[in-house]
Amino acid sequence: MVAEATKTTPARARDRWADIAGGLTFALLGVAIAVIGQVTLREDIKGDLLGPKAFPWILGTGMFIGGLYVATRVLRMPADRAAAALESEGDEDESGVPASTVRCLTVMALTLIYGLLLTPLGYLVATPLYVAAGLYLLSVRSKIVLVLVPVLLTAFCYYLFAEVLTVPLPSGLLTEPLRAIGWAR
Amino acid sequence: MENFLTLMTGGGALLLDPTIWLLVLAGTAYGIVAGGMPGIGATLAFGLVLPITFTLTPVQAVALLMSISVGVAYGNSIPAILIGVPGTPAAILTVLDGYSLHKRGETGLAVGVGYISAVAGQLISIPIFVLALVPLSGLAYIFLAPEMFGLYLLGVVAVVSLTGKNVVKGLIAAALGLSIGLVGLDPIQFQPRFDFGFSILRNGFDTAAVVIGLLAVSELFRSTRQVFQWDALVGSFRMKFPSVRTLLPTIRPVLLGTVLGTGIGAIPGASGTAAAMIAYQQAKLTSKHPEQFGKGSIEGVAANESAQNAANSGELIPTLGLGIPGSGSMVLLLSALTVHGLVPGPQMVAKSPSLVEAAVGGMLAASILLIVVGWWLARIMLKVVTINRSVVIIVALALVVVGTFSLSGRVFDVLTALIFGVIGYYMRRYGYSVAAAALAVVLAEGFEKNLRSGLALYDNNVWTFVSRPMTAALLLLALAFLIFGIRGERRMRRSLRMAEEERPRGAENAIAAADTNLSNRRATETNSSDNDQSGS
Repeated sequence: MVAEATKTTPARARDRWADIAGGLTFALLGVAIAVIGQVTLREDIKGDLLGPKAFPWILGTGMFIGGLYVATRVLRMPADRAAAALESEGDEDESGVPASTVRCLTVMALTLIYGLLLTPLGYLVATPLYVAAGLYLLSVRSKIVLVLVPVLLTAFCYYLFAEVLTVPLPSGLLTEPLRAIGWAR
Repeated sequence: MENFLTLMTGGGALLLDPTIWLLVLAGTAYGIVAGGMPGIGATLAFGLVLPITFTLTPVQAVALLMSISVGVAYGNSIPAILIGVPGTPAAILTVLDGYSLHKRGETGLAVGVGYISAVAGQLISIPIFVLALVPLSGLAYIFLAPEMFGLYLLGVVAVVSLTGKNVVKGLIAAALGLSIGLVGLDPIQFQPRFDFGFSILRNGFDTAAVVIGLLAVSELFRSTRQVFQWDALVGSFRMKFPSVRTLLPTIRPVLLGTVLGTGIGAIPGASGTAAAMIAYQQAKLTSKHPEQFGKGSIEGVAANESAQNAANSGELIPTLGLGIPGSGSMVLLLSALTVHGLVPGPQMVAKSPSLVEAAVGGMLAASILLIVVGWWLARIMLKVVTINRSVVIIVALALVVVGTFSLSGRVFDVLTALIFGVIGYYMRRYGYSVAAAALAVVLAEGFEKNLRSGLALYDNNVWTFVSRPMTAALLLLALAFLIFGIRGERRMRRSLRMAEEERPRGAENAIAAADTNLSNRRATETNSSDNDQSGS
C-alpha cells in the first residue's frame, strides 16, 4: 500500500510539474507586485513612515521567496516522495469516481460566459439557458429536469430578488416587453 | 446589578407583545434564508429591509434587525456543513470541520452541534452583553489604531494556523489575500494602487465578491470534476440528533467561543469572522485532540458557531453603548435609529434604555424560535443534499451569480467572483489554502491602515507603538500563536506519519477491502443512474 501511494503515475508527474509552475507563478507575481509598487507609487506624505510602497514590497518579496521555495522543494525531492507529498496537500477527488478536468474547465467557461451575457441578454433569458446547459454538462439527461429546474429556478430567484428583495435584475432583451407590463423601468 | 436586572426583565417583557413575535418570526426566517445563501449576508439582508424599518417604532425596528442577525448567524452554517459552501465568511471555519463530518455520514452530528452551539452562544451572550455594556464599551476608548493593528495581526496569524499541510503555501495564500487588498486606494494617502488606469478598480475589488469566489465558486467548480450523488458517497443518509453524551465535549469550546465571541465582537472594527477565527484557534490549542481540527472536529464546529453567534451580542456593545458601529450591519442599525430621531452616542442608552431591551427581546425571541424550529429547519434544508447533486451545483452557481450581482448591481463583481473562483480552484488542487487567502482579503485594509495610522499617531516611533500595553499583549499573543501553531502542525504531521507506519497489516487489508466495496457500489449506482437518465 505504501508502494502504491508513492508510485509515480503520469497524473502525478503532471501534478509535480504543475506545482513547480504554481510556485514559479507566485514568485513572478511577487516580483511584479514589488516592482510595480516601487515604480508606480509616490511617497507624498512625510509623516507616513511606511508609505504606500511598503506593503507591496513586503508582500511581493514574501511571495517571491515562498514561491521559489515551493518550486525548488519539488525539484529537490525524489519523484516518488514529491508525488506522495503533493497528493496529500491538495484537495483530493472522491475515490472511485472518474474526474474530468475538461468538464470542469467547460463549466468554468460556461459560467464566465453567463456572467458576461447577464446584462445584454437579461436575467430571464440568460439564466435558464445557463442552467440547462450546465445540467447537461453534468450528465443530467432527464428532459423534465432539464426544463423544469431552469424555469422554476429562474422564476423563483426573479420573484425573490426583483420583487421581494427589490434588487433590480438586468432585463436585457426583454426590456421593452417587461416595460410594457410594468415589470421594468 | 439593578440596571442589569431591569434591562433583562424589560427585554423579557417584550416577549408578551404579539407584534414583536410576528416581526421576529419573519426576521429570523428571512435571516436564516439570507445567511444560507452565499452572497447575501447580514449587511445586505439589513440593507434590503431598511425601508421597512422606517415604518416601525425604534423598538420594533431593533427587534426585527437583531432577529435577522440571529437568523443569518445560524443559517450560514447550514450550507457550510451540507455542501461545503459558507453562507457568510463567518462560517468559513465551519466548512473545514462540519463539511468533513457531513462527508463521513455524520451530518446529524455536525448540524446538531452547530444548532446547539448557535443557540447556546446566542443565549449565553445576551446576559454577558447586558452586563458588559457599560464597562466593556469603555475599552473602545483605549482601542486605538495600534491596538487594532495588534488584533488584525493576531487574526492573520490565526489564518496561518489554518494553512493545512504546507505552512509555506499557506503563508503564500495569506500574502495573496493581503495583496488583493492592495488594489484600490491607499488607505492613508488615497493614492490609487494597482488599478492600472481602470476606474472600476479605483475602489478595489468588492471584498464579498472575492471571498465568494475564493471559497464558494472554487468549491463549486471543483465539484464539477466528478459526477456522483451524495447518498452514494456516504451511504444511507440520516440526520439523527446527537445524544447528550456525544455533545459533552462541546461544552468547553461553546463556553470559550461564547466569551471570546462576545468580547471580540465588542471591539469596533472586529467582526464575527475574527471572533470565530480566534475562538477556533483557541479551542484547537486547548483541545486534547488538536489533530482532528480541520478534519471533522465537533469542538471546532462548536467553537466557531458559538463565537460567531455570540458576536451578534458583542457588536451591540459599542454600537448602542458608544454610537460606534461594530460592523457594517450595525451601521445600518444606527441609520434606522437616526431616522426615528435618536442620536447615537454614549448617552443613547441612558436616555433610551428601551433600545437595549429591544435588542435583548429580539435576540431572546429569535433564540427561542431557533430552539423550537431550528433543528426542523436544518432537516428541511438537509433535503437539498439528497437532491441530484448536479442540480444542486448548477443551482448554487446560478444563485451565487445573482447573489453577487445583487451586492452592487455590477457585472464586474460577478466576473470578479468567477475569476477568483478559477484561481481558488487551482489553489485547492495544489494545496494553497483558500481559507487563508479569503480571510486575509477580509483583514487586509484594516491591517495596513491601522499600522500606518498608528505609527503616524506616535510620530513614527515604533517602540512607543509596540510598547502600549494592550498592543504589546496582542503582538506577543500573535507571536505565541505563530510559534505554537507551526510547531503544533509539525507535531501533528509527525504523529500522523508514525501512526501510518505503525498501522498493522490486517487493518490495511480491511481498509483496502472496504475501499473496493465502496468503489464498486458507487460505480454500480452511477451506471444505473446513467441508464435511467438516458432512457428518459
